[in-house]
Amino acid sequence: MAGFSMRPCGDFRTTYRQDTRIFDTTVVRNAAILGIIAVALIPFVLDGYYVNLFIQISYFAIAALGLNILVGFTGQISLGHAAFFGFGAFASAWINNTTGIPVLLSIPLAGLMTAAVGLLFGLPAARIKGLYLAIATLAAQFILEDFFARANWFTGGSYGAAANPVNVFGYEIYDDFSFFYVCLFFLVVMYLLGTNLMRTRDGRAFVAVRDHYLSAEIMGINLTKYRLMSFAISSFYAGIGGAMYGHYLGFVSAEGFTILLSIQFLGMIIIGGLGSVKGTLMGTVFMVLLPEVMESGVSALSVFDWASSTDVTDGLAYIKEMAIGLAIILFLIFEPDGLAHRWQQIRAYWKLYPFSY
Amino acid sequence: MDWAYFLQQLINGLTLGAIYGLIAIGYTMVYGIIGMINFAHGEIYMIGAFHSLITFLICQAAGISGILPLTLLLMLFVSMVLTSIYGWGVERVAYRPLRGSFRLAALISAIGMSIFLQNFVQISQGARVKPMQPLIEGGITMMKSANFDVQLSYMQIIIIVLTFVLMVVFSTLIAKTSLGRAQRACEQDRTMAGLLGVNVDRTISTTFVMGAALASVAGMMVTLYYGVIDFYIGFLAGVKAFTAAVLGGIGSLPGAMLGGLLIGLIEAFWSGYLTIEYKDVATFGILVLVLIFRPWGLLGKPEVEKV
Repeated sequence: MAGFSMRPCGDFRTTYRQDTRIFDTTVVRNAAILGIIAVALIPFVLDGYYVNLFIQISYFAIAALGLNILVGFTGQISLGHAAFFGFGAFASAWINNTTGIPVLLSIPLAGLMTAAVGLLFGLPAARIKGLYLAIATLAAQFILEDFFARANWFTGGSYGAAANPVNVFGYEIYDDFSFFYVCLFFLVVMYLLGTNLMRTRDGRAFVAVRDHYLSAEIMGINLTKYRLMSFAISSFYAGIGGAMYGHYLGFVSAEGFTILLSIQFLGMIIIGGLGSVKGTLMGTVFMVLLPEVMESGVSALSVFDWASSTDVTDGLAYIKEMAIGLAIILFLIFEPDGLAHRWQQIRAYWKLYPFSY
Repeated sequence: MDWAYFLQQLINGLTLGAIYGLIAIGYTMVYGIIGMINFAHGEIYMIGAFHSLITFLICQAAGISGILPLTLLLMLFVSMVLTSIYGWGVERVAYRPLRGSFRLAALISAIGMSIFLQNFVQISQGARVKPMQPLIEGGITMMKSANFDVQLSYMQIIIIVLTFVLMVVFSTLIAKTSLGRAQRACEQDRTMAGLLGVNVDRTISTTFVMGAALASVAGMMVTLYYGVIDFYIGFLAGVKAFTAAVLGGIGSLPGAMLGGLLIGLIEAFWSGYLTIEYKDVATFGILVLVLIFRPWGLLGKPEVEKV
């Protein structure tokens, strides 16, 4: 629990309990609670466009946190995260359609199913690492994509699968307004789980595997176990995010889960900050807002003749993708620690404000 | 067993494999020298294909497309030069600033570059499939059976022969010249090579240029062989060629060629005898198996890790 209301200058931690606290000070904790309350008020204050954006951010952020646990905390790599995201979407729709289990329950079940699939495709991670692992997961991406397109019993093949809306105690949630709260609930729960995971023995083992796997092994950490576990947890998050996506759209098509989405997930955690739970959320917000901001930028320019031509509007989709690629490269070169690090610097600057030493 | 059918699949597989092999060499050389995967290499190949098509269209407009050997040489030359410039630029912009960074940074930046280039071509060239009229037609009928004639087209002969020639030239280049020596030195120990007077930056740039030149040849061959290209061909071909490089043992030049041929043959026989549907799954399934049981590939050497 948070003990101080202000943190003394520097990092003075004298007990392990201090070190593993989620919130350093009561002020930070209260700010987080207030932040959640403020977000919960969004549907009352802002219009549907922003509610929709928040819903997008929440399911992507959950999946991205899974990827960050795998890449940022355990030091593995996955280029197939979108496929797991997609698997979660199909799995939840399938469970709900075939067995009639309510959607709120089928979402976590889909997460477990995806975790099992992730475990299967994570098996190479027991033996290989780094680059080779990247390729093995790339193969997973393509194999799963093919599976989506052809496994009619599970995904409906090229027709896609219909996903029922969320049903809470007989009350069906069709509109964004109510779904917003379902998203907020899952987002908060999954982020708390993620933060807490890093305070446990297993979370520390992940970090040890990332930092120096040989030392970790010598200290008695079972590498195979933790690598596989990381894959399973990461896929679990992807599955939950995907299931929410599926039930939000009401329809899951096999085409939406391409390698580009996998790379976007990677982009989110790189831009946000590898190995930072808070950064994951920032990166997702950045990645979701980037195309939106570009779009409004172009529509603001459309008072000029050259900008309202069809060339510009047609090319916009590609320009958006180009911007994603460019953003990833620029962040890697100029801010490899991501937005989370930049945020820390801004805070440090204001904390010491007029006297920087 | 229909031997004629078998022979035809063998020829098709070898042709496809030669093209994969040419692209795979680019991957393997770059991996050998800086230990990173140039994921944008597939896009470089696609850009090479576009350059050769554009050169052909310019030749046609200039009225010299009737002289076939001249047109082909011009296409080869212009596309190799222009594509090399792209290869050089990609290294300069996306990889050199990240050389000291963590290892996966370069991989991810390469993927970012790949997205960027793909969409750049899509915007500048349009998303439609570009047709190319067949320049080299005809072939040899090798074998006649009851219901099937085995065709070996001149184009296929050119692809296989040219690949073989380029392979020999580049192997000699790396084994015999001072440039090749510098490359091998950088591969073993970059810092030490730098201390001994090898210009490391330039050597790495040259490696990218060489890889891009080979990829552009592959792009031109594909343009002539299939007659259609679009902005999307680079990605899958890149992944397959990369599979080939890993299969043969990444970092090994003959391995890349062998891997390319094997992937080509697997694809041809899989779609010829089993089902065309799961063709890509077969390729990637093999990749996963290789990675699990023999990650250093067929001809590569296992990496020994020292603490």
